Amino acid sequence: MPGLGHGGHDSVMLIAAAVLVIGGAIFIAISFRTRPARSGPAAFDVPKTGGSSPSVRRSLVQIMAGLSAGAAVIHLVAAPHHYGEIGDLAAGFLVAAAFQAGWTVACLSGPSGPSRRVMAIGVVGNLAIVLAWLYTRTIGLPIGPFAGSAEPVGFPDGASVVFELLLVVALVIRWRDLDLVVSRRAFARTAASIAVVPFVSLVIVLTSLATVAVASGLDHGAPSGVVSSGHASIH
Amino acid sequence: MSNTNTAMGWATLAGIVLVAAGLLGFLNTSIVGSADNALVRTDNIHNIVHLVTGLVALYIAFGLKGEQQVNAVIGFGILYVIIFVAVLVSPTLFGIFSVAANAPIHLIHAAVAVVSLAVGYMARSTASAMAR
Repeated sequence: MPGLGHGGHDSVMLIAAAVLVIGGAIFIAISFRTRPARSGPAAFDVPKTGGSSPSVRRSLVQIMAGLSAGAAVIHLVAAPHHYGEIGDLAAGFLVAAAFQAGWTVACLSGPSGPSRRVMAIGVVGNLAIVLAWLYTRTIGLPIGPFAGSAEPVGFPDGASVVFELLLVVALVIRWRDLDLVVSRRAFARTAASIAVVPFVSLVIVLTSLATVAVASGLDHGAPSGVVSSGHASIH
Repeated sequence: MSNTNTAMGWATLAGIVLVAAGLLGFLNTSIVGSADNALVRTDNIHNIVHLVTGLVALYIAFGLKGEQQVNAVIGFGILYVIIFVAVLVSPTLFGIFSVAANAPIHLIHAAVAVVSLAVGYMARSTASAMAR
């Protein structure tokens, strides 16, 4: 607040803290009051149809789709910047983005998730992208203005590779039907359902931060001017 | 008010507050922003985190229902436990934030985490009671 001294500022913070604590306490109190006795009538109005815990498989599919979509967005936003650095070689970003976006749609289209064919394509495609990234980080592009010069690891490409590797792990779990094995336990179904939100939210947050990093020219850990005098790669 | 309504109400409130905090942060006001005297000191990166997670909360409130909504509220609480601990350990989130998080930020993260977990847990235990 303009003109507020330290005392006034501290008072405002105290008021904000009080509002948050009191507001939260009210919601907790309401939840506690409406919680039924163990043998009593339920106040909870879970619909009889729909809204129940999805299976572990469905939760896994949602997480896989989130990971693939996140990687696709990062590749898409990284493309224009890299066109200025490495020219047509940056088309690799668009190919990767199109592949991962298309795979996301295919993953979500089936009633029980991706088919075995779609899963195989997902594993091969994402591993190919990860290997291309690894090549540019250790050896460097074989052609282009920065040929033979290894690229430093930045936040956006690091996040994208983590998404791709986690997606491959999830696909292996799905391929071997390990999700069906754990799905027999009610606790596992609940845990998987709960895990979707933090997992997908973190992917969204990291993708957003990666997008900002690319837009700020910090995609390789340095401002744009520094990057353009260094080197770039296909990933 | 049933526990479904409570979970939805809390997700709505958290979503509105977080989205408002995110948007106000971009305006760099004395309430939220990077100014030295701002009540809640944030930079653009932190604003994006608030905005995105606020939209997630609003999706939970209006896009989900029943047990899925309750599980999502618990998941949202877990998300904010992670955020709270990460920002507590490193107020600049390992150099990502240009402005270090101050006490009200920690309070917001903690309140969202604790209330989401508590409201979700109690709503869930009700669902279990109903199943019995």
